[in-house]
Order: sequence, then structure tokens, then C-alpha cells
Amino acid sequence: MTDTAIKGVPAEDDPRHRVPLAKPGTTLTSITDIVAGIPERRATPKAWYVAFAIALTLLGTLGAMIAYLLFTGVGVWGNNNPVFWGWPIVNFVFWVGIGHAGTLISAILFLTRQNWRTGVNRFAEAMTIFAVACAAIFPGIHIGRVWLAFYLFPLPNQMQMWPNFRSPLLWDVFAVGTYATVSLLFWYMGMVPDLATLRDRSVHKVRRFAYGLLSLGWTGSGREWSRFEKAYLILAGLATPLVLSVHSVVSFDFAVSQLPGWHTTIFPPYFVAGAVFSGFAMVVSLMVPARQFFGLKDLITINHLEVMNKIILVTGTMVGYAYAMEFFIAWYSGNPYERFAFVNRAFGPYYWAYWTMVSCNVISPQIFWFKKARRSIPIMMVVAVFVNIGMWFERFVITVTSLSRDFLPSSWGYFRPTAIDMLTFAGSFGLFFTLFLLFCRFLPMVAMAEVRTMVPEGKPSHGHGHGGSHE
Amino acid sequence: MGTVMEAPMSNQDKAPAGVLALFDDVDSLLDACRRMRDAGYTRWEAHAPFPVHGLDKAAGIKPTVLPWIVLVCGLTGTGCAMLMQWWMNAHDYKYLISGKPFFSVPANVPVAFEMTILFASFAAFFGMLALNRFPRWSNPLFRMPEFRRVTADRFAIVVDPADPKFHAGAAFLGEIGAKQVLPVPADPSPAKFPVWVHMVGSLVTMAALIPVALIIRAHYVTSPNPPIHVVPDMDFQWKDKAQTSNPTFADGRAMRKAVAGTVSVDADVDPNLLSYQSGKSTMVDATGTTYRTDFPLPVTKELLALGEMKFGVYCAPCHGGSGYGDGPVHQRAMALETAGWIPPVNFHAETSLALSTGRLYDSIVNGVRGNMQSYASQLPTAEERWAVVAFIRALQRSQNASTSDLPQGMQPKEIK
Ligand code: HEC
Repeated sequence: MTDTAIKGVPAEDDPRHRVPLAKPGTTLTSITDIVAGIPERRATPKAWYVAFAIALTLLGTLGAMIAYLLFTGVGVWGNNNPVFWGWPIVNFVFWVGIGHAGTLISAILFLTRQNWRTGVNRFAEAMTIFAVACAAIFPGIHIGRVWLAFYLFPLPNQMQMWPNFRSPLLWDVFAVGTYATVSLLFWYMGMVPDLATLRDRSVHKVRRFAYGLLSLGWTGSGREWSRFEKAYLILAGLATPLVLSVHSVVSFDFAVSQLPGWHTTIFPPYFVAGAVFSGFAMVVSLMVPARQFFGLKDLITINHLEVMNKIILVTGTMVGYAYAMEFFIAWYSGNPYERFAFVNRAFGPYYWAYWTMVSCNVISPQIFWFKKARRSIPIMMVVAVFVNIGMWFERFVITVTSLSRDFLPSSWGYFRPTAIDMLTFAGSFGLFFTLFLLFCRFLPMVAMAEVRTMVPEGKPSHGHGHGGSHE
Repeated sequence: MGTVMEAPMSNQDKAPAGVLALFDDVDSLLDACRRMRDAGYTRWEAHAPFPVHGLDKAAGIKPTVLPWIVLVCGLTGTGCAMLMQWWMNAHDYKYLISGKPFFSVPANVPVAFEMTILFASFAAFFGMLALNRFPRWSNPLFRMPEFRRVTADRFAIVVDPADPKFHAGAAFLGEIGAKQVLPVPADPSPAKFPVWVHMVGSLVTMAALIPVALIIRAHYVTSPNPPIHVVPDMDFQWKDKAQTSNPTFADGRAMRKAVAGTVSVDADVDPNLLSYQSGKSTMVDATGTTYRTDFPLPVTKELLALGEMKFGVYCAPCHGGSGYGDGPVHQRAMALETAGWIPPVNFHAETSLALSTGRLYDSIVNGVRGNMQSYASQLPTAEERWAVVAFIRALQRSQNASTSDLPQGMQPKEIK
């Protein structure tokens, strides 16, 4: 760059300069060694075993809770008249929301050419898939008679009837199903070249066979890359509206019904912003320990984390705006039921949940206005955990406050979860972390092929234009 | 599997599967590619560990047809979704929801959108695999230890023996900057599957068809055995059904008699109230049936108020608030041009005015000619039914009044 510095702006804050996307001095070889080195490690670190044991215990709890539920019935949960959508739906929306950051980072940031995504996208995509897997469990077991779950899908059955396509619950089946499938394709496809790297580096026959099987015969030829990149671009283009549609459709589950506090048009954008918010918080809270632990600091730099914290600040503020706007509209509509629903939310029996939500989601991210805070590991960890808690409470507040005050005051009630509710939710973290730890241990955590294009060696002619006498 | 096997030494006699040239950096690769292209080589590939900017042009790679495949599949997804929703909800099993049309685009957009994305994404993914001929687990390149770093930090050009200039390839690659040029050993494994693979394959295929055949057979064959209940749900319950025996009771009957002293709901009802065919005054109508024409109970203001309320709930939806047969159900049927719709009777028509009170009561209790159902269970007491009859009479009076009906002294004066 030949242009002079802007007065009063330190060089690293100059918007014309891009922050380095990998630590200077990183080479093609070092990228491969760092990333491929993790699954290739001979001895699995002890800490991994400890974490895996905890995750497996939780996973076992989940299995036991589901088995108990199946043999006993949904009465084991706190769901009861009038709150028939208790924790299972809260947990479903919570997990689906978390599953939004991955595809957002991969697709939207890819289309908008935010190159910093290369370091974190694989990680975030994996998180997306595992979160969606956790989410999918809850509506499945919430239907009561799980062996009839196939009624969710338009399959021919002995009743000779079909599902109702005017129901947002059915739209949900299609939206979440499509999202899970496309995210999986996107994640796997992006991983194929990296799996080929692992294949070619493996010494052990079994590993070479397994990675060889998964990498489908990738050789990295120009034609392969050309089609691969086109497919990747198309998938990104398809996933972008998809990721926006998924949480919109989830919000329709609420917004299309006629309940005060649910029946509002702000729900789709508000849910999407909340989903991105919670997803990024989850990425940060997983990324920080992972990069520390697996020595990925050269590839996932503090700059990456700072950018993600900025997104947390923006989406958190958007969510805060939505909370305020809901109140305004409730007042402005003049609808007494809507007004009651919102006053009841903030000052009724669930006030504690409401204010937990506001403090975690709206107030805590405001610290990210300060650059120091955005670049401080302890602060970002605390905020990320707060945001995850706050976003769970948001779904709880929306679901439970509206339902517990239904149209007949005689049936009003106060929702209390049971121990089974809590253990099932804790168990879902077991599933998430089990999958996640397996991913960290056996698959390339960073998109090596993409990061390679970010270092000087990966740029033809080292950035001096595309010189070449034959062009 | 080719990926696991190391190259055995026995394939020296076979012709090489190509020639491999290695490069150290991306610039020399791009430069070599341009020279290969310009020298007229046609069957060769450049390999790199990441997508190289400008390689398509340098190696003369044409744009892929993938986007078109995706477009076609995406549109197929939209079409399938629309067709599916129409067929399932508007054709094969019609859902009437709040009187909305059976098929309307807005309600079907979300599913159509998701299926468009789903089909298009499958096309992008599987299209990419198919165009690249993946999975291709066996590749002579995988047998070369030198090739392994090409997926990490080195670059390569591989020339296919099918290239017309293949014989000069090795030398040319050396000239244009390759660090190392090597023949690619041919694949030593036989090109055809051994016979036993075919045999086992066909046996497995045939075995796999057996369950399918059984399922298809079960569709056509009836069986005297009860169906298998995998999950019995509430099909079998610990309760007695009507007309069965139960040894717990001395008389062995599962159905118990009413406890001594039980009073029936209509035990005390005056038989006169329940009768609509005989009364103080009767008539014989056009069908030859005898009906009473009086009321078995005094018609009071309270009775009329009860009748008005019940009429509004149970009769007005079809017969209309004023009894002209123009209730909302009828209007909706007209708007939908429902075939075979029988309009509710207008209570102010000549024939209706002639109906006896007994006939009106009969209509409520027994329904009308199979075209109107009985309202006996909605109006369970005789008093309620007579109240509705009285109200219909009042309606008829109100809509067909003449000035002579007004009380004495309130008749309007003729205006001259
Ligand atoms: C679902 C629509 C519907 C409702 C509700 C309904 N009716 Fe009718 N009613 C009809 C139709 C249709 C006919 C004409 C039947 C025919 O012509 O065969 C009819 C005919 C009649 C007749 C004429 C009988 C005759 O001999 O011609 C009487 C009286 C009558 N209804 C009374 C009632 C009363 C009283 C109620 C309320 C308790 C009631 N209806 C509610 C549909 C309705």
C-alpha cells in the first residue's frame, strides 16, 4: 500500500487495510501441519478423554430420559394445561437458533467476501450440524407417541390421509429438514479436499482407508477445483435464503397462532437476529477453548474473535430493539390482550425470567463497544455464556408466559419444570459435545484449503497483479 | 481398495498411466500451465492443494454446466412441492380449514421454497460429484508417494497417455520448470471384477428382493389372523365392552342394571309435552300425517326469549336470523356453488306458514326428509323445543303482519 496513514487512526484500525487473516509467517506447509496434525496426534490428550467421558455421561442421561419418557408418557414433563409447550419446544428453538451461525458464516459471509470466515467456518458449520441434531430430538419426542413420528412427513399411511400443508408445524418439518440436509452437504463438501490431505498424510492403513473413503478420490485437479468452487458458490447462494427462512418458519409456529404475545409480524426478523446472536455466542464459547487447546492460535487469531464479538454486539442490539418494539406495538395496537400479555411478561409471575433475558441479551453485549473488551478472552467468554443463557430464557419467556395466561382466566397456571425436563436438556448438551469432541479429534477443524489461499504463498504472483506474458 | 494398496512391482510391463510433473510454487505452476495450453496439449490436468486463482484460464478449463443442472433441479423442486401440496390437500384428501380455498399459493410458499432449495442443493452436491466422476477411490496417482504432498503444499501437472503429444510430454515438462518428472505406474489390478464378485452380487440382490416381494404380496393377500400390533396404543384396554360377560358379578353380566331408586331424566315429563301428533286441536297435512296445532304449554314472554336464544344458536346459521332461509351457511354454499346443495326452508313461504306446530316440533326432533339433521340432542328438553317452535311462529307473525294485527287504537289513519 502506498497511501499515507489517516491522521489520528492507528495503522491497524485503518479501514483500508485488512486485518491479517493468519499470523504472519504462516505457510502452506505450516497450515497443513497445524490442522492435520490434530487428528494425526498419536496419543489422544488426557483432557480430551475427560471431556469425552463427561459428554458421554450426559448423552447416556439423555438416552435414559428419552427411554423413561417413551415408556411412561409425556406426563413426566412439566407440560400441562395450559402450558402444553414447555421445555421441549423451548429447547428445540434454542438449539435450532444456535445452529444458525455456521451456515451464516459459511454462506452469507462467503457471498459478501468476508475472508476472515475461512479460519472459523468449518468449526462453525460442524457446530451447526450438531446443534440441529440436538434440536431435531425435541419435536420428535414432544409428539408423545414417538412411534408415530412418521405422521410428520407426507407418507402414505393406513388412514389414507395427508398432513395439513397450511400448518406452520409442517412447514417446520420441511424447513428444519432441508436446513439439516443442506448444512450437512455444505459441511461435508467443503471438507472433501481437506479429507484428501488427511488421506495423503496418513501412515496407518486404516486411517488411509477411512479418509480415502470419505475424500471420494479427490486429487485437486484444476477441473475438480473449478466444479467444486462453482458448487460451493451455488450452495452458499442457496443456503443464504435458507438460513433466513429456517428461523422465520420456526417463528411462524408462534406467529401464525392467535395467542397474544405470539401473533406479531416482527417475529421472523426478530427470531433470525436472535438465532444469529446465539449462534455466534456459541461459536465464541467453543472456539476460545478449542484454539487454545489445539494450538490453532496462528490460524484463528484474536482478530477473528473480535469480528465475531462485533457481530454479537450488533445482533444483540437488534434483539434489544425487537424487545422494545414488541412493547411499543402492544401499547400502540390498543389491543387490551396484547397489552396484558406484555405487561405480564415483564412484571407478571415470570418477571425473573424476563429480566434475566434482558440483562443477558441486551445489556451484557454492550461491553463490546470497547475494543479492549472485544479482544479480551475472559470478557468474551463471560459474555458468550451469558448470551447463551439469555437466549434460552428468551425462548422460555415467549413460550411459557403467553401460554400460561390463556383466554380463560380460570385455566391460568404457573409452569414448573420437572427433574426429567432438566435432565433431558442437560443430556442434549451431552449429544452436542460428544459429536463435537469426535469432530475435533478426527476431522480437520479448520478449512485448510481455504486458509491456504489467504497466505502469501497461496496467492499467485504474490499480489503483484496477474502478470504472465502468455495471457 | 486403491487408496490403501501400495503399488506392487508386478506392473512394470503395463504402459504408464501418465506422467507426473511436480512444481514447488503456484507461480511456476500457472506459468507451466499457460505454456502447456499454448503448446497444444489437450489431455492433462493441473493439481493444486487449494483453488488457484486464474488456473481456469491458464489451463484452458471451460466453465462447468453445473449451474444449469442446479437451475433445472431447483425448478423441479418448486413444481413437485406445488403438485404435492395440491394433490394431497386439495385433491386426494381435501382439508376444509376455516372455509379457505383448498388450494392457494401463499399457504404453499414455505414448503415450495424449502423444496426448491433442497432439490437445488442436492443437484449442486451430487452434480459436482458426478461431473468430477466421484467417488473414484482407485486412481493410479494415489499409488505414488510423490503425489501425496500435492494435497498439502505442492503442485503438479499430470499428462494423460491419450494426449496426442504425450510422447514429448515428459521432456517438455522438464523444460517448463518442473522440479521432478515421473511416470505414473499403471493400475496393476485387473480391469474386470472376478467371477465370484458377480455371483455373490447377484445372490445378494436376489435375497434383497425377497422382503420386497413379501410386502407386495401382503398388499394383495387377505389373512384370517388379526393384524400384528407392534405398539398397541389404546387398542386393547382393561375394560368391558357392551354385551360381554364378566365373572366378577354373580349374574355374569358385564353390563350392570341401574341401581335401585335411579330416576330417568324424562321419567317425570308430562306425556302431553312430548306428543306432537295429538293435542287439543289437530290437523291432517298434505302427506296424510296428523299433527297437533296447539301448544302443550302456555306461551309466555320467557318461553319466547328462550326460543329466540336457542333459535339464534341452532337454526339461524342455516335458516337465517329472520327465518328467510338465508343464513351464512347457505350463503357460503351459494358462493362456492356447491353441487347438490338443498337450500334451508324459508319460514315465510306459503308452504311454511301452513306448517302446524306439531310439524315444526317433528322437524326438530326427527330432522327433515334426511336433508336436515335432528336437533333433538342439541335441544334435549321438550320445553326448549316448544320454545323454538313458538319463536318460529312469532317470527312468521312479525314478517307477515298486517295493520290489522296492531292493537285497537294504534291502527294508522288513512292519509288523504
Ligand atoms: C345445517 C342447516 C340447517 C340447520 C342448522 C337447521 N335447518 Fe331446518 N332445514 C334445513 C334444510 C336444508 C331444510 C330443507 C329440507 C328439505 O327441503 O328437505 C330445512 C327445513 C326445515 C323445516 C321445514 C320442514 C318441512 O316440513 O318443510 C323446518 C320447520 C326447519 N327446517 C326447522 C329448523 C329448526 C327449528 C332448526 C333449529 C333447531 C333448524 N331447522 C336448523 C337446514 C337446516
